[in-house]
Amino acid sequence: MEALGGWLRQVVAAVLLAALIDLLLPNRTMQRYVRLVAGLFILLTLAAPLLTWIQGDMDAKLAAGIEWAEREPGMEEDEGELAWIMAEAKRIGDGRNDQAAELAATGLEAQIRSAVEQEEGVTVDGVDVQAAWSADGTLEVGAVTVRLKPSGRAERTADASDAPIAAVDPVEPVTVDIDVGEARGPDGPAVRADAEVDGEPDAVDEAAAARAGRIAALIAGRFGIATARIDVVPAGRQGG
Amino acid sequence: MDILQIVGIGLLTAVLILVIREQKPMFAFLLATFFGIAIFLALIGKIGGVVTMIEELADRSGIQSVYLKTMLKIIGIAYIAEFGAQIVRDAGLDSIASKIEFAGKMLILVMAVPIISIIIETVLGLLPAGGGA
Repeated sequence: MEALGGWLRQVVAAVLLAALIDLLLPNRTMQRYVRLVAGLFILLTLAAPLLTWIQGDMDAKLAAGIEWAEREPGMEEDEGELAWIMAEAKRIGDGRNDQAAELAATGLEAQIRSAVEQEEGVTVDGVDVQAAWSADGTLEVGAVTVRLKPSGRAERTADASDAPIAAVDPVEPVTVDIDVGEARGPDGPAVRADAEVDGEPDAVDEAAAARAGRIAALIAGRFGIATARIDVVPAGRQGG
Repeated sequence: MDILQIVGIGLLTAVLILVIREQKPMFAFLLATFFGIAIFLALIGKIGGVVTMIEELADRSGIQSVYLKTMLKIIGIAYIAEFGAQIVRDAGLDSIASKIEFAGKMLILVMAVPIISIIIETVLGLLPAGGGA
């Protein structure tokens, strides 16, 4: 019953619309044509339930047809087509540029890794090169991040790489005895522990900073990348 | 009030055109064109009000927006074609005016093509052995 009411309302609205448009027409020369179209619309509205039953999605078909009818006479279609082609070309070109940048970055990463490992004797955990296209169409390296592996000092790594790999013993069970009584005691032991820890990291940090500086200088010298853009992450900072 | 102004400007323009036409027919034609455009621009706000009312009516009744858009386009085509044809006719070129009107008629008929095709398809589909649709 509700569908019938809706259909009736549509028919009344279509007739009203047609009458209004007939009224708005400027003169009689166009009247016959406009009446034909308005009559067809009323017919379509009257037969809408039947058409939907037979044709399925009639509205979409009608909308597509009207769009076609509007595009046909003018140059709109050509312009739309041209715009579509240009957009597609831009999309494909951007994709190709991205691929090229990615490829260049990957190659540079591999070269930097091998150069750093050969020259400095450290194990590189990973190299990130961020390359981007500049406004004038050239590929520029934005930032280089070298992450060193937490395997200790350079000398030790270099020695280890020469020596044959020894058989690894299975891990012994580790027993940790915690004396709760001492931990709850005065601040003394804790302070001492801090003091012990404080001394060593300074040296480690200095060595790491020096090594980072050497690596940055090496990359800057060999690949022509500004030192400010090179970030060497020492082994200690890996987690953070 | 508006109509008084418009009629007044129209009468003034008519007198001016009658005076100028003897000396410079070209300027008379330009004046007539300008008057037509000015009237059209002055009434755009009112036309917008009517269109809004029609849109509201269509919204409430649940009629498809495609119908309304097409109808409004038809009115626009009819008005613009008529306006152009009248200006050209005023300039004394009836043949060009009739061509403009013909173009307007054709464009209006093109709007009807999708509707006709849907109706024909449906009728063919209804027929038992009709066209294999």
